[in-house]
Amino acid sequence: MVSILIYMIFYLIIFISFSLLALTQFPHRRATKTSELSQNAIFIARLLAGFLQTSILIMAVWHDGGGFGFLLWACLLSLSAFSVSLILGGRPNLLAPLARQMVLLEYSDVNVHLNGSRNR
Amino acid sequence: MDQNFRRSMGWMHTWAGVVLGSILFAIFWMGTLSVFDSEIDSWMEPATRLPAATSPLPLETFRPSLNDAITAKAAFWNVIMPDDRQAVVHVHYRTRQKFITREFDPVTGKELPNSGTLGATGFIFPFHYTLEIRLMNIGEWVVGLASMSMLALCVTGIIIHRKIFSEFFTFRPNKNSKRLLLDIHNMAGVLGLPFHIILTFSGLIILSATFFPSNVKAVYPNPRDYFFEVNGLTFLPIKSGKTGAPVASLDKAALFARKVWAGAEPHTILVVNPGTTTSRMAFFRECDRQVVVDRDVISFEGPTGKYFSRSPTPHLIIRAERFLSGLHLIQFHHWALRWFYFILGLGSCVLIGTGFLFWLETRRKTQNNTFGFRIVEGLTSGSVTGIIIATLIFFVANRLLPPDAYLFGHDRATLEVWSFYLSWLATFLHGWMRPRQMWIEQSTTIGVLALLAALLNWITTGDHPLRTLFHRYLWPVAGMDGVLVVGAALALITSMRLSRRARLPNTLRIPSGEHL
Repeated sequence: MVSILIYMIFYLIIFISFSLLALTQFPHRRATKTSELSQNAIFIARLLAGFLQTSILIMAVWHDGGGFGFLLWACLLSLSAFSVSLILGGRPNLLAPLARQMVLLEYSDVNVHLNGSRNR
Repeated sequence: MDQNFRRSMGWMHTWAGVVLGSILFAIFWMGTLSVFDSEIDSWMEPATRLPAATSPLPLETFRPSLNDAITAKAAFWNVIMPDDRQAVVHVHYRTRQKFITREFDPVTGKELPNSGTLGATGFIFPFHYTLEIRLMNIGEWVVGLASMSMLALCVTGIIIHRKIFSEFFTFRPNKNSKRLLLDIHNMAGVLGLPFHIILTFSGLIILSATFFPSNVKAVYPNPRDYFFEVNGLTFLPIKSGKTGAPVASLDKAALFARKVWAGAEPHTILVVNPGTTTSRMAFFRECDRQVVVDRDVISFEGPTGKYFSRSPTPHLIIRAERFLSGLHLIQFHHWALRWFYFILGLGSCVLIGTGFLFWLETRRKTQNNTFGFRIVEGLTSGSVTGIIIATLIFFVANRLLPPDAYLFGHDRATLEVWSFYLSWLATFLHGWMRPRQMWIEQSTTIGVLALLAALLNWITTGDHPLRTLFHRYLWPVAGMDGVLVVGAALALITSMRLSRRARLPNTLRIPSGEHL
């Protein structure tokens, strides 16, 4: 039972990571009715997605061992990516909150810039 | 990328898919079902639906069947102990005439009545890699050719997909049917690519000795040595001995094996040449907690029970081969992964099916009445929906045929297989005869048959959903019934949508979500 819960968490995190990747693309942002992101924000979102996926690989290997962990991760990648595509195709509104939150990446980008200016 | 190159790859992708798609669908469909072969066996053999034993039976319980094997001068005799996927004990031996399988209650040790079916392990799984064409290994060669073409299809598919990254997550359910089919095909292909490639490649590796015998011959002077090393059978005697020798205590040998393995249990016990002076007993350790099919085997001299050998640590290449075959054969016990394999296997079937449908849809307007188009159309219906119908007929026949069914010299198990082939053939004919209605009618048939199979299981065994859900040992049956009901619902919804679309006049056929 605990394992099922852990796999569901893995799935959810990979799902979020793929959603982040998908929502850096203009057609999907348009489908979720959110504004386009700047290049920097896109880079940060993709970096974050890569980090989440790598962390799940490490956690899956830690939880299930090398062989099972890697297979589990590879299968979850495909299944989560399928889910993201299906949701973006059928009910993109469900991802709109995440798409809106991603705008924060723009602000963090601005903050970095402002801080940088202040330091200068 | 050079347009000519892309066009050439497109040509190859199209025609390799159309020519070998039917075989590929059959391989992937049967492979997907084989993921749950033991569970399907449990559904098809109601007598084996038994609670698991708390402790294993003494091996001497099966001595009478070993004696039967000795009397019948069997080449081998083996026992497969129960695990969390199969509750019963399986005993097999091969006489000169036939291969005999007997099943035993894991608690009482009593022999169970003959199930009269090949089940999934006897029919669906071998079909996956032999297509049941055993003459000169032709089936395996055809499967190999199809697998190689699948790898080529995956590579060419990536090359011809112009917007692989920009359309990575693209799925447009509201577009026209051609666009929708291509989106599903791309989605199933690109997002499931690691699964398609790894499973196809590992399948080729498993049968590599058939496809590339020269590789084996280059390393092993006698190809049998390769077979023995890969399967941990290096203890096998070469010469046959004299008959009349006893087989020593199996339990004493098992005790020794457990000590060596620090308490791990043997999963398979094999006696080769039982009753002869050169017989050997071998104990294969259970290895279901890892991906690698690690064949740790301890063997004993049959007549005396004296320790003979333990399988050597395999060479790195053999270990890599065992990892790949373990990854493909999923003999491990990991429920989440098993379900993921099943779902992704269905994804592979969707990939092949939508490839066929897209080919038909792009040519429907221009080549609708041509001979070639009609051939592919009928072939598609038989290959995609047809094999699903045939499988369901196989299940329904299993529940409907009486235990002692016998017709034209064929026993019950053979009649089930015949029902599969005849219904499969009928779906091809149906596809060629009724091209306009075939998808609607075959989808409806799938829905009805799947519901009927689940219902017949309830009527003939009394294992209704409430009962199967609340008893742990009946969960495989609950899972099978659940998949049948979900499949039925999906097929009926598809059929209703298709018939609604067919009723609309052409002028009114506007894809939903699009405006005039």
